[in-house]
Amino acid sequence: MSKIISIHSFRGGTGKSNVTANLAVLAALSGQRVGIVDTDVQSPGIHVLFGFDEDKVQRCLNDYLWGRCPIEETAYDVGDALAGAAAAGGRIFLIPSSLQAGEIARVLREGYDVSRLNDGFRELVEKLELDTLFIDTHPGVNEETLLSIAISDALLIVLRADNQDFQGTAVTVDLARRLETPKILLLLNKVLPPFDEAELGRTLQKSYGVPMAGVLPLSEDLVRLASSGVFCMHHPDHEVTRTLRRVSQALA
Amino acid sequence: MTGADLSPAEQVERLQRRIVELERHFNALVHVVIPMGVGLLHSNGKEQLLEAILLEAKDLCHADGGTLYLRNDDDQLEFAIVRNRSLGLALGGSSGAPIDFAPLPLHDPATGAPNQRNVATHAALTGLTVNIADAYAAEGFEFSGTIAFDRRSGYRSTSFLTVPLRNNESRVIGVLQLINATDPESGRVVPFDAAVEPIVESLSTLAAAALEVYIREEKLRRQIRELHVRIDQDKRERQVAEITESDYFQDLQRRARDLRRRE
Repeated sequence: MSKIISIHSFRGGTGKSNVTANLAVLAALSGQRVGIVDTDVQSPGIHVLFGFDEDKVQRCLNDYLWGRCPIEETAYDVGDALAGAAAAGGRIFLIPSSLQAGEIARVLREGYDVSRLNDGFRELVEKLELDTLFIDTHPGVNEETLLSIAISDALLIVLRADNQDFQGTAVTVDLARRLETPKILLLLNKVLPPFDEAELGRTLQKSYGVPMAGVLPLSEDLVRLASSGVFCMHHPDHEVTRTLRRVSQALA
Repeated sequence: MTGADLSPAEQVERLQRRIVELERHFNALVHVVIPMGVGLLHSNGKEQLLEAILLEAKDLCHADGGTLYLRNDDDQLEFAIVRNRSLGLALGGSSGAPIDFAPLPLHDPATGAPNQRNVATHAALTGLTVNIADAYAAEGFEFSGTIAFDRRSGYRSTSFLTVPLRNNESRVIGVLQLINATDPESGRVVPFDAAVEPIVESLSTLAAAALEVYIREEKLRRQIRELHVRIDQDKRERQVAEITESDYFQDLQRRARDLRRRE
C-alpha cells in the first residue's frame, strides 16, 4: 500500500526541504521506491540537495500543471544521490518545479488548477510504482498546501522554537485535523543544544495534542552540508541521522 | 627596609630569593596557567576544568583545603566544589557527593547589610583578594561565620587566600578560596606567600572564563527546559475560521472525506 507524506512548515527557513530529502533517502535506502514532488513552485529548491543539474530539466511540474505533458515525464531518477547504496532496490524520483523566472511569474500571476495536482500525485504513484510519495510543500497555507495535506496519509510539520512558528503550527494542525489527515506529527528543528528531547516532546504534545516525532539541533555539520548534499548519506551514524530514522519510522 | 640598609651579602641573598621566586612564577605560568587556558579553549567539560583549577591552585600553595563558590541569582554564594585534606572532605564536582552546606548570603536578608562575617563573602563584596594569616586574629574583620563553621566541623581555619572570580564585565560571579597553607617540610599551617597571589589570580581569571561559559550553557539549558509555547488562541481561531469557511476548503474537505472512505 503506497503512502503520501506531506512535509510542511508555516514559514520558510525551517529546513523543511532538507528534512524531506533526508527522509526520502532513508526510505530509499530501506529498499523503497520513492518520489519527491517539489510543490514549492514559487521558490523551488530541493533539487540542489541531490546535486541535480538544472540544465538537464526538460520537463518539470509546471509543464504538467499547464497540461503540456503527462506527470511521469517530469520525474527524474536522482538515485545517484544514493551513492551505490541502491543495492536494496531503492529508487528516488524527483519531480522538480521550474526555476525559470517566467514560469514562476506565471504561477504567481495566473495560478493553476489545483485539482490537477491531485490527479498528478495519484498517477505518479501508479506509473512509477512508488511506495512513498513525499510532497515538499510551499510554506504557509494556500490551496496547494491544503490539497497536499488533504490527500496525505501523514503530515509532518517542521517548526523552529519561536513564537511565529508556534502560532502558525497551531493553525496548520487545526486545518489538518479538519481535513482528517490520519497522522499528524511535529519535528522541532534548529534547536540550540543542549536540550531535553523528552521534555520538549511533552511540551509540544500538551500544546498541540499531536506527537513530536523528533528534535534536531542547530548543528554545525548540518549547516555546512545544508545545501550541498543529503546529510544522512554523509553521516549515517550521526545522532541527527538516528533521529531522522526515528521520524521516518514514525511516519510509516 | 630598603636595599641600602643591607650588607652586600644580604643584598645578594635577597636577589637570589627574588630570582627563585620569579622562576617559580615563570614555571607556574608556563606549566600550569597557560596549559589551563588552552584547556579552557578546547574542553567541553567546564565543570571538570573548574575542579582542575581549584586543585591546581591548592597544590600550588600547599593548601590544606579549597572551595569554589558560585554566586547564584538569590544574592548568595553557593558551595560548588569543596576539598579538604585533613577533614577528608571531597564534595561536589567529580566526587559526585552532594554539598549540603547552606549558601552564604552576601547581604543580610532582613536588614540588607553586607555580610562580612565570612572570608568568602567579604572577598565577593569588596571584589578584592584577601590574604590573611589568621582569620581569628585578623584586624578589622569579624569572621564569625567562619568560626561557627569551625566549631561545627572541629576544624581550625587559619590562613586564607581568597580570590573573587570576575567576569569580563567585572562582576563577581564566584570565589576561589584556599585555606591553611602548610609548610611542605614541617606540615605546619603558615600564612599564604604573597608571591603566589598573582598566580592564583591568573588561575581565577581562567576559572571565571570557564564559569561564564558554564553559566551561559546552564541558562540555555533552563530556557530549553522551560520552552513556552505561546499561542494566541483568538488569532488561531480567527485564522482557522477564515480558511475553513472558504468554499475551496469545504469542497476539499468533502472530497478528502470521500477519498478516504473509498480507500
